[in-house]
Amino acid sequence: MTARDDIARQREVALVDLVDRLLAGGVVLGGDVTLSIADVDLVYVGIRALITSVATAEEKGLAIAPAQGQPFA
Amino acid sequence: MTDSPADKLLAAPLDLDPFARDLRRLDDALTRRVRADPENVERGLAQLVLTLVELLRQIMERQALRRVEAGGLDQQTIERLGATLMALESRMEELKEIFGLSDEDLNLDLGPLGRLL
Amino acid sequence: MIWAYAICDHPDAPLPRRRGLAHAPLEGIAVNGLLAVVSRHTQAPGDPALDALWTHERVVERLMVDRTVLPLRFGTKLPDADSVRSTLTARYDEFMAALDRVRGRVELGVRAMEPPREDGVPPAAIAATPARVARTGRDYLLEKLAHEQRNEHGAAALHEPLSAVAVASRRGRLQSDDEVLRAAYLVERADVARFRALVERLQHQHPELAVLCTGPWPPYSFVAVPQAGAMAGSAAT
Repeated sequence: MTARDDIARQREVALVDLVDRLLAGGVVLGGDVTLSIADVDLVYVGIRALITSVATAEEKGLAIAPAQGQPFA
Repeated sequence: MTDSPADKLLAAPLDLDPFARDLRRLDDALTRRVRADPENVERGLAQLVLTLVELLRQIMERQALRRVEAGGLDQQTIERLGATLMALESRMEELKEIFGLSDEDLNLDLGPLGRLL
Repeated sequence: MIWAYAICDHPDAPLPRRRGLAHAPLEGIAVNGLLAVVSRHTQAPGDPALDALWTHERVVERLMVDRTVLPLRFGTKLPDADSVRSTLTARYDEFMAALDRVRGRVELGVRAMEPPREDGVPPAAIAATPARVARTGRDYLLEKLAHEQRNEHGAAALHEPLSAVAVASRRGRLQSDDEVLRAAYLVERADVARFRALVERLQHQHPELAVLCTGPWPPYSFVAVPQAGAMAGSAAT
């Protein structure tokens, strides 16, 4: 890779870390968060809310699979 | 103060490719590449559906691993659990191939909401 | 509309001359010891996405030069100055406490991966092996557990010493099969060089891993209302 490729790659990697932080970190105030930069479809937003609650429940150790000792039977 | 984004790398290996892989998907989001034509809509839908399926598969697999780790399951149950998950993983691979989707395609970047998987 | 960049202390200090989005000047909206740094717009700023992100970041970083700063999520919009004031008032204690937590500190990001070996074989990982390789269900689970344990071992080998140099840390959910660690560390400014040297040392000690450290960043991962160890960009591990 040329030196220019190196710099470009470095910028890309830094960008990935920046975007992670800007779009999902930071203080959230009451108002609107604009989704237009990331251009997210509303359908994804709704489903994400559902998935988050499932994932959170899982992390808290709540059983998701049916009980009765017959997992996935 | 950062003069250039590249200044943000404090320590890095020689090969940065693995760390930049996220970028293609990010690039799509940042440049507002909206899926407009029917073929892409279908692919977009497949992407969404398979991502959900994959999410559930991962959750179930993690649950199973925790249970196996915790102990107390008889051999038959372990075998059945494992065989089911193995079949699920195999089926996911097939579906991904059919729709031409990679692992990265399934990790939807929802911007402010983070990534799905 | 009001586009907001950060909440900081020292409300009486003059604002930087640096411009915000759409070249709008920065304005401060103060409530007692808190200052919201914003810019006003009559229509949505039309900056290209990448530029907008870096503009936001540069504003936050410039503020951090002489203030303690709580960076806001990118894209935070509020209808008017009154709504800014009422938010600052309503969450005053929360913001003051958050400022105390990050005063004099910066965020450093660490990502570690275990790239495939030269011969293309994924290291210690179960490639998505199709089930035509005859394995029992039990073997499948045991291999996955072993893989998890190896990865966790690798992650801990990095995370533990790094956490010791940090004031706080957050681990994020791994996003691919070859990721081993994804974490954010809140570090005293004076310790950044020490942290970086430690990353380099750990990289030497673990040549099978590729370790990346980025920063210093404003403390994006340490200012949200804590959600059981969540960090920017991923759900809690």
